[in-house]
Amino acid sequence: MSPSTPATSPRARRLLLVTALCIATTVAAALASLLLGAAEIPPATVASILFGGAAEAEIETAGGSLEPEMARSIVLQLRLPRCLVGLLVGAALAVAGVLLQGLFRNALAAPGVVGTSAGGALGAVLALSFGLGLRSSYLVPLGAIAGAFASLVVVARIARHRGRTSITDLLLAGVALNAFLSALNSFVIARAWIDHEVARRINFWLMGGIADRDWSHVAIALPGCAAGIALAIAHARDLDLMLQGEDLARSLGVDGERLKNVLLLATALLVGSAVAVSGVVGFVGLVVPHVVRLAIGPSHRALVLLSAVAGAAFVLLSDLIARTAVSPGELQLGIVTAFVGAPFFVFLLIRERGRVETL
Amino acid sequence: MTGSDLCRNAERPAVETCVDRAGVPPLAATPTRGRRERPRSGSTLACRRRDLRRVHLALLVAFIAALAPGGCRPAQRGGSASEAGVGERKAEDGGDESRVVATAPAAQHAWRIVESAGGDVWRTLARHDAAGGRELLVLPRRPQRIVSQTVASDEVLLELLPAERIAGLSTYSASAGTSIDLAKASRVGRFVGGSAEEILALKPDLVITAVYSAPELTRRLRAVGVPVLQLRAFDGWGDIEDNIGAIAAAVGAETAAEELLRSANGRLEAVRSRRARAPAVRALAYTYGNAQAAGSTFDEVLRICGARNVAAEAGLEGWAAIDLERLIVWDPEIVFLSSETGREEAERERFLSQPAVRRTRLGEPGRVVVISGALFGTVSHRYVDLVERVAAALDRLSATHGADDAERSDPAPGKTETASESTP
Repeated sequence: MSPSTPATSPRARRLLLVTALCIATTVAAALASLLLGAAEIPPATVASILFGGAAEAEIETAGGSLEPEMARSIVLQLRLPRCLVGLLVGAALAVAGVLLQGLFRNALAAPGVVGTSAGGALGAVLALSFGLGLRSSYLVPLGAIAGAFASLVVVARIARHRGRTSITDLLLAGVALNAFLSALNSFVIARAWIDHEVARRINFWLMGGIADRDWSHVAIALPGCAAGIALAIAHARDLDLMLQGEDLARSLGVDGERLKNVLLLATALLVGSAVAVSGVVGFVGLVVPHVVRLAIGPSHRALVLLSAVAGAAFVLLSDLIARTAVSPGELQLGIVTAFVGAPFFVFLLIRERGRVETL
Repeated sequence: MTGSDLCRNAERPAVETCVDRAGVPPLAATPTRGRRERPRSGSTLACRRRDLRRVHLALLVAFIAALAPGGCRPAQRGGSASEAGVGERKAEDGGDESRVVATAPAAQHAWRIVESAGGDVWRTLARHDAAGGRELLVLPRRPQRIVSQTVASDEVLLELLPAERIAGLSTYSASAGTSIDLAKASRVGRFVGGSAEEILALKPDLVITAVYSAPELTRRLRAVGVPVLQLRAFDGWGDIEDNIGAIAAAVGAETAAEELLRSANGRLEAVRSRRARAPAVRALAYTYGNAQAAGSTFDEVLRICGARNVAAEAGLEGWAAIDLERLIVWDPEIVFLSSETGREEAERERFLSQPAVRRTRLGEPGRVVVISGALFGTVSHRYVDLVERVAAALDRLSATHGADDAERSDPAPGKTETASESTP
């Protein structure tokens, strides 16, 4: 193969390198997430449990022995769902960030920008304040998804004028709705303080986290995340064309209005699903797409895929910090992503000032 | 006597910094595609870069500080952050201790009566703060229209005074979610939020607030001459005794308070001596993913009941987030949860819906005890009810599972334990 073929061009080599790095980091983070825990189950036993085998004798750990069924429960009912939820949430928020940054042509756009995060949070807060969290573990996440969709519908309706959706109107409507929904959230939380237990439940949920998630959370997040990422991949080329301007994209056969609707739908699916199972986890949708774009450029097909992988790694690594930094206690995931994400984002802003303002 | 003479208390808001929720990413800027950065001078750019580096550094330092031991702990009793934040105005009467005619119990920071029935003053109360200053509360007459702004002082007032002397209670006392004394509170019937205007409309001659009440509320009330008794610590029975003593001294109900405290201390002593004869149960209070560890109110409850708090033994302090795997490894013999009033059973079912938890001994009857949030978080004399409730659960546990638990090994505090031994 000659040096000039695409597969060996510097750009392609860079893409391969970044892809390998992202996948390796995600796999390492997932393995660490599965192997590390309070019960100190040996890695070989964890692997055996994950691949369908089960130890018959008691498992010796650093702290004593562990009954095989208990080890199995810990790995399969606690660690694995937590790891999968982390992967899904990270991927969903990062891809949502890619879509919004592409749609708004602004590298500072984030999942909160069209009000979907605030809508999702409001849906969950309302469900919690009405005590639905105790009736079924599905009701709070479903409330979050419903809230995300409702906010999206409102924003899309406001921004649509004479059959066209202006990106600027969409952005402004999103900002306005965000403020309104945040105020509503504050109102509901203030009302909830009349019952300290409800208020505590809401506050801990809003801090964001993936501790103690079970298979029901995986089941809730998976369909929305998969559909959202699939939509993003399917429309990656159209998004590339839109970056050149709506008129040019239209001349090349892109239905701009349909694309905006589809991307907003995908964003709502992704953010709604993520917020539903993890609460409000900040900075993933802002930082991850930005870092990946700096590494591989603005082409959306690769950007979506690699952001999904890198986002998953970012959330899992943040969760590992949350689990181990103050052990035996834990930090809330949202705190770690903000602490890690904000300085990193500032660092990137300083280093790449010229590039972040124009995609 | 002017308003400022009536109440010479001064304060500044307590500074308690504790990062407790995720930062939210900044919203998007306006679209910038095609926009070119305006040329900047080299020095301006360098200056901005230095600023951003400082921001970066500050955030990193904040992160490290938050992770450092004690970086995010609740205020400790006696010398707490809240006390340190009290703005003090030195007493103008010279603080002659010989003039003390009665005292609230125990702690040095408790309110004490320093002057009674002289001239146009019915009573003056004072408290020392951690910085060595004194805070005074001057009451021109025995209060007849008292407004309370904390659920704890609501409960104490309802116990000490007839409803006619209470002009208003906090809105929390109108809700079953936070009030244990709904029936008694309904006899007062007036519930006010944290608005100075609402409170002043009741023409109060004493308002009781807490250190966590809005500082501007206390300031405004004092500015218009309303005496404000601010309760400062709620970290255990000692503080609760101090608060009851302070309220009693301020409203002139010392005899009723003494009786209340004598009865409460008798009940606590009965629990303590009864539970001292029982084996120490390894217990955990677990609320929405958080263990109540050393220094928390519930930690003291467990100690009074002769139980061992597994979270405290593991070295955790205050409210500490833990995951279920940690809980399973700690293998407590009993877990106390809190829940909205009337939804205790639903909370128990939710907790036990996790298969890994059900597989531990917590799946056995009587090992998951759900207490309504109003009682779980009480910091009034109803604390004794909480202690008795916990003690009763521990008694039942000893009766039903005592022999089984004794057979199981009892690992060293804080060490990873064998989950197999806990499995029924």
